Amino acid sequence: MKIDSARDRTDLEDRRLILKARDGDARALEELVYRYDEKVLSMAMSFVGDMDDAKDIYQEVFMRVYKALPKFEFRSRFSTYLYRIVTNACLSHRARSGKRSFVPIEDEPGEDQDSTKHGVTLLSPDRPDAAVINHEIASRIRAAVNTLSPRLRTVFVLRHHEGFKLREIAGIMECAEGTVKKYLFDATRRLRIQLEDIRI
Amino acid sequence: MNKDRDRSHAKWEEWLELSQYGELSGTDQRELDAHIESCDRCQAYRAQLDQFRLVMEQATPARPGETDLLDARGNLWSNLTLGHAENRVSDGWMSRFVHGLQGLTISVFPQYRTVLGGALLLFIGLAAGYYLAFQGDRTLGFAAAGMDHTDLLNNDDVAISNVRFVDSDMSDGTLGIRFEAVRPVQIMGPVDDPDIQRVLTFAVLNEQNPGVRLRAVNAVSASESLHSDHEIRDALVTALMTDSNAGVRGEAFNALSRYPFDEEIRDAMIHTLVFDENPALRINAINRLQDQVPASFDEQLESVLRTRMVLDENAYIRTKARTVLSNLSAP
Repeated sequence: MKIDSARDRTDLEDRRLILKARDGDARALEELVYRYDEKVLSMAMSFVGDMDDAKDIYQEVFMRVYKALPKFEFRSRFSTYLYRIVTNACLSHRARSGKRSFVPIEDEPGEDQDSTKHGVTLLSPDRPDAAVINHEIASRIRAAVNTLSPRLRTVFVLRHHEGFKLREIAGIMECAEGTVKKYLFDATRRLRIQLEDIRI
Repeated sequence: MNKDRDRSHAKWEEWLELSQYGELSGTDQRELDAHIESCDRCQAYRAQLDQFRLVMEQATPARPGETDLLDARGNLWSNLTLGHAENRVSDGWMSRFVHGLQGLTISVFPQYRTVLGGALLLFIGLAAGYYLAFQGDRTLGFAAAGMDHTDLLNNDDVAISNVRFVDSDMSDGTLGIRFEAVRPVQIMGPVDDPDIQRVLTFAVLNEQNPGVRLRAVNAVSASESLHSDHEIRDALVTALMTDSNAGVRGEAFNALSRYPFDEEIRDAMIHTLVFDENPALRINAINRLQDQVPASFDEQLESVLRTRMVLDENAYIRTKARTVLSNLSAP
């Protein structure tokens, strides 16, 4: 209840800023951007894994928001609307950049995966070779996440890296909470299979 | 019987996952806790989920720092200021005039729609060019005011780039703009000339165009007397380790093969072997390292080779790493 009223206050404040920004109030626009831009940059980084690309997405998102602000109809929370734009921008960015991703696990050739499954263990940071080994493992994990389909990947990144609640993710993806739950379980199951040889 | 047990456990497993994400209600959580107490299968599943969560934490991307955020904000305000100006141009008198004229010509002379459309397009182009040129002069006038840069800006050789708005609030009728004014310089001389070397080194490290970087590396490696030049060698090492273009990294690798194999080149080879996305470069790196074994063999190289033996996606590299290690351990 307490959380909801805090969210409502945020919504009201967003609405006030949007209306002022529409009237050309630059400070209101600035305040609106600063309320969310750290999260936007963080989300973009979680999705694309490269700060330069994340900054490009940041620009793209806020330019889109700026252009769409006059037409925003307050049908959803501004934050939900904004995070939906971020998610779409990240997915299109990956598709445009031609990085290998979104390949369903069933379509992946099995040979390469099997060849790396010899069992690896994350090393404690004080070991001399920890940086190299742990970097390799982190790369493998990121590569595994990239093999998920866009929907599974979106749910997984938003929940695991960004800490969104399932209800919030459902709002961002415009689908039922049960569907998000199913995507999350599916993503987790696939990743656990792919990464089962990594031990802590 | 087993089917029923599986079905009932599907519910507990789903709850366990939801519990990990903090998405289970209080009542359900208590029920789950009570069940886990007496269920080995769920305890094992929870351990697997804990393990998975710890593994996933390794791949959590770095959070953006303050500098990154400020940088992104700076660029955003520049873009928004420029975008705002564009929007105002499109909503201005010129736009209304063009739309009005378009409507008029089409409604009065519908049979000449195509011809009039072409003429109108020509007119819009000319008018827009005039308008933008006029806007440009005015902007420069503001920027130059009180800055004593008039001579610089009037020079035809000077190229202006990287324009940023340092003060975009025009409520007081003034505007602050920062920009770079670049004047081209041309030098000619032997490739060993220190000035030319300095420019080449700069180009290898900083030029945005990968074609120019590639030619700079080629020019560097074409010289016969550069082997003792540390500045050039360091630039090549940096290019090999950090250049985004595989062709440039490849040329840097070739150029470095003319330098004696020392610790820095060895580190660059190890870096290439571990981090380079290009398998051909990784193969070249492991081959060059192999040539220097056992003289340059130590714990670090051993650890790297053991990792590549398991994790490298390229079969040749995995085999090669195994071969080098087994040759060393052989009596």
